[in-house]
Amino acid sequence: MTAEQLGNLLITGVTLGAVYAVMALGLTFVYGVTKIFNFAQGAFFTWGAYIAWMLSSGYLHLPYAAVVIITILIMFLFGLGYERAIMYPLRRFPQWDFTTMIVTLGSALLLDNLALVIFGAGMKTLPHLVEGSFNPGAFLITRHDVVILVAAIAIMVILTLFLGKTREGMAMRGVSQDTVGAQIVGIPINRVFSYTFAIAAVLAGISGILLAPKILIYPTVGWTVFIRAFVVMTLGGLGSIKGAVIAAFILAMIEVFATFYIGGIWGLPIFIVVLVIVLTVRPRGLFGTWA
Amino acid sequence: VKSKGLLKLVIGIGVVAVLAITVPLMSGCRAPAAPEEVEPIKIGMPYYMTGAMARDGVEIKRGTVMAVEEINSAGGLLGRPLEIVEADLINCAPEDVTTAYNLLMAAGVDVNIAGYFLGPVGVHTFGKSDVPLLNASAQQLSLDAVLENKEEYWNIFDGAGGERGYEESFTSLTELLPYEYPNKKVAILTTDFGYSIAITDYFREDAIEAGWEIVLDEIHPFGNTEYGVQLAKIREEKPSLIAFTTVHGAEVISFFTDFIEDPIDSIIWAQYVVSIPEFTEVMGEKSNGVFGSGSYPPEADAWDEKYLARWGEVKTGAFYGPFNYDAVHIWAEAVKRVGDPTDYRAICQAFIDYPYEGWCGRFVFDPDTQAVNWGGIGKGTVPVTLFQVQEQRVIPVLYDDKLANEFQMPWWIER
Repeated sequence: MTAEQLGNLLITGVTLGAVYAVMALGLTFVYGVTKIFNFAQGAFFTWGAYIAWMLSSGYLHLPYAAVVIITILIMFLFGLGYERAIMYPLRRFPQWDFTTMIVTLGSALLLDNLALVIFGAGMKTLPHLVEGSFNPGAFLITRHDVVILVAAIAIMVILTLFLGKTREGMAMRGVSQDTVGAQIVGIPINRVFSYTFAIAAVLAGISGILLAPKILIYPTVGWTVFIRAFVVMTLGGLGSIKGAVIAAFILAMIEVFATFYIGGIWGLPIFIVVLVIVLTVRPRGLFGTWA
Repeated sequence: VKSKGLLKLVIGIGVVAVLAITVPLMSGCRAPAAPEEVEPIKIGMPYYMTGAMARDGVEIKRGTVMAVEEINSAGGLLGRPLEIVEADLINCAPEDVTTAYNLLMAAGVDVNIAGYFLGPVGVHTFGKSDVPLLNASAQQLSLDAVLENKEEYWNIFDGAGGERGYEESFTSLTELLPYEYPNKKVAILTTDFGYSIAITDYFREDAIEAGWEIVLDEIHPFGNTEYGVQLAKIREEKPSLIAFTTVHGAEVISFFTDFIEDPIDSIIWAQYVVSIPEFTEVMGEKSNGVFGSGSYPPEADAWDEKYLARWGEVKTGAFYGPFNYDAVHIWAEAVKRVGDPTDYRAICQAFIDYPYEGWCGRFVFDPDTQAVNWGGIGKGTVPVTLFQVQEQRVIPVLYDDKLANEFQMPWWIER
């Protein structure tokens, strides 16, 4: 392998890792706080991307800054409404964790089909957030990939700071550790759950804007994202933000080098083999507690 | 006096009414039934309403609807209107195909007109009944399934032959196209689907025989959208030809989106994907210059006008709209000859005995394979055409070893 090839592979691995991290952060965040495995996270992604598409190239042709802000706002309200209307009533019943998980699966299918009815089955795309590319030496890095990388790191830092330094974040950590205990000490757990879903929906919306130019938008695209996100989250440790980001880059690097040496068809199988090996040695994943 | 007159009028109307009803019956004629009373003949349409191939599904539906509307507006078939019954193939998993099959059979369809199936699953599922199936799956595996079990699968007909139809693609691109390749290097990408792999095998074989160096020969998972590693290799080796065989639009769109960020002087042949309208719809002007192949002869241009008139949109893809239109007419002609839409054996025999001249070519079904003859670019009765995206439309460029329309230099090639 030449130095140029190595450099290109590392750059590809880093950008792919950023993509996987962005995919996984919303899923891992909502699980980390609420212990609800949100099957609808992929559908949130799909809807975030469609909303951005409607605001930009689809209908309104708004400037991208406005598209991002409005999408974030809509997704926040959507997540809030979703939790209030669907999760909250179910949480009053025994074994709500299992019930809510099944309901998220059902609502994912509902949201997918709603997208199909409204937008049709055809693929759509979004323009790159920033067009063009850098050519440092023999390498090529698209500006959009840099944006994804910066966004992934920024989201991780902001979420970590939010959970560690703010009152609301600490309340979320309390709920994640012991829901009943948190309630006893006066943490408003219903509000925490609602805001957690709202933030998860916002993360899905941001992912949609960042990834749609690469993986396109269609009614079931969320599942593609969800499956990768699930593997990344499991490897990183369920609910661990730091773990998800590190796992995303590890898996991306393994996939890139596997693709280079033995072919693209082996990327995903090796991805899964690594997951199985890690879970055999460390069943809780790399960072199986709150980071 | 007034009441007597009224009575006479009522009696008169009554007599006229009775005569109007009884005279035709007495003379052996039946009163023409109101159109809504005639039982329609049901056409099953298993196609992709959702999933990765859904944009193809739109064209499949539109072609079928156009033919059915035309037949219905001309008085129907054997005096009966045609009615389409739809069923979603989703992503063509066996369980999806079985569900679609069960729905259509329960609806009482007399023919199934599909676009395509991924693999021989369509043959094995729709071959369980006697209802004819017309499709254009274009896969040798499907033809072999019919050949191996003719007793059971006599009702399955394929309007697109096998992958062999693409076997001259490399030669056409490298020898017949008026373009001087700067080197003899080719990169080949394909997806892990038998149809795409088979076409790649033909392409690779011809490239090696012609003395070309294969700098990348890659199979990736179906639906892959990450091509960073492959593009790094391509940019390093700078092949003058890139062949990408798949039926999944997102694969080529993702690859091409990244490719044009820093393009090299390569002719790109995206085989089937160029036929999917999605490619030009998503890529817009940037799609211009990309090559593809499919059964869409130059004469089929008139189809575009017909399509525009019906749907109010310029047709951007190729093949499955006109094929499904043709397939409905192939079946309707056979039914007319047989005189009974439920005499399935006779209808299938009529497919073989009476070739049909359609938009896609002349449908001459081989009695053994029950498929049309696909003999390479411009060869056979339903020929394969090499086309190029020009002004966001699919334009036939090479047909029957001749230049059918002007070749345009792809915009990303600097020379």
